[in-house]
Amino acid sequence: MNEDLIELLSRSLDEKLSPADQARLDEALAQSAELRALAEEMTLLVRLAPTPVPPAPAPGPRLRARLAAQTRPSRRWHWGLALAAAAALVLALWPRTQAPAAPAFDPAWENARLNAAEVRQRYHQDVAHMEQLAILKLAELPPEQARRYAAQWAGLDRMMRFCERRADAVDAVALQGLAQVFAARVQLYDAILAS
Amino acid sequence: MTPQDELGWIDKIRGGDQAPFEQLYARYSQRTFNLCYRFTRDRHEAEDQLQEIFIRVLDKLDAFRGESSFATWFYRLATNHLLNFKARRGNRPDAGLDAMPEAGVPGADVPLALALERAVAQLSEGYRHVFILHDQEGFTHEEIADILGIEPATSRSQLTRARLRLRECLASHIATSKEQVA
Repeated sequence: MNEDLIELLSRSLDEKLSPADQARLDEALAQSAELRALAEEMTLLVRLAPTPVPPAPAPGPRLRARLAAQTRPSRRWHWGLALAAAAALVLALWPRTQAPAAPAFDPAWENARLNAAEVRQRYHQDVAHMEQLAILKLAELPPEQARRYAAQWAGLDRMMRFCERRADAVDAVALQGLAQVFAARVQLYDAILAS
Repeated sequence: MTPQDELGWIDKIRGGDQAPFEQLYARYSQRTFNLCYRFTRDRHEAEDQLQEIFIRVLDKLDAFRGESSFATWFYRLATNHLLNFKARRGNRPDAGLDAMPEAGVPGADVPLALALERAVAQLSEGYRHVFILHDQEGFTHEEIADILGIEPATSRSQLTRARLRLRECLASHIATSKEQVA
């Protein structure tokens, strides 16, 4: 709360404020209440929508090498220090294409991964029966119409493979995309079966 | 765990003892990784920068004199490193949300989370840094002032402006969230 507001509040307790000062005080208090409401809104927003930050990885090889170089050994360990420095140099020059260090095991993360796998399995089970019927129906349709549906189907297959690859990383966007692709597949099967 | 414990760890690390470093890493890596991730918006870059920050901390450890808390010193160094990294990267666009192949938080409102991320990404730099540090990572205004080298009052006013901007961008989401909670 700013000094101006404190001063106005003190004066309002000791004496009657002029209408202009009273208006300023009211406005300042309203603004203060408004700011509190704003802070509460943001707290709610951040709580309902936490950013999905993955767990921090374990120390990588460069950091390990740097840490090894941090040691101040006795003279008989100078060879070890030289080796660590050489390892640090090699690792620093090593192409960045090497596989990254495996992230530390995190039960919550693992749980999210398993949930994602379950969601995908459920989608597949849900559409499997419709898919069989649609394949049978496609064979009965006029060739031109069947080709058009088949092209749409192939496009959805490609999108689904793309989303599934990304969903392996428990990607929220990819999972949403996967849900949309499945919804589109159900629509396509409906259209085929209604033809 | 007290600041004295941390000073003990730091002395041991300076003396070449590796075991306290593991404790330091366990204590600081996740919050630092959160910052890396929020600043770079790319998992692989965030992982690289986390390692760079800890290497830099080891390089600079002798310069820590205990004039501020170790946590403040650490996060100031981490934030400066990330700001320099972003400046070096120049105009190259962020990887963006489409390149964030990360998990959803179970139970989270995913569309709202994506809308919030997009809105935060559109904030100007100063507003975004203060919002990330205060509302998303839980630093106080005094800590943010130390970390970013600004006045606490500036941090407060930038946070308010950031929140007002986000409120404008996310008005419909906020109304829905309030209804859900009510």
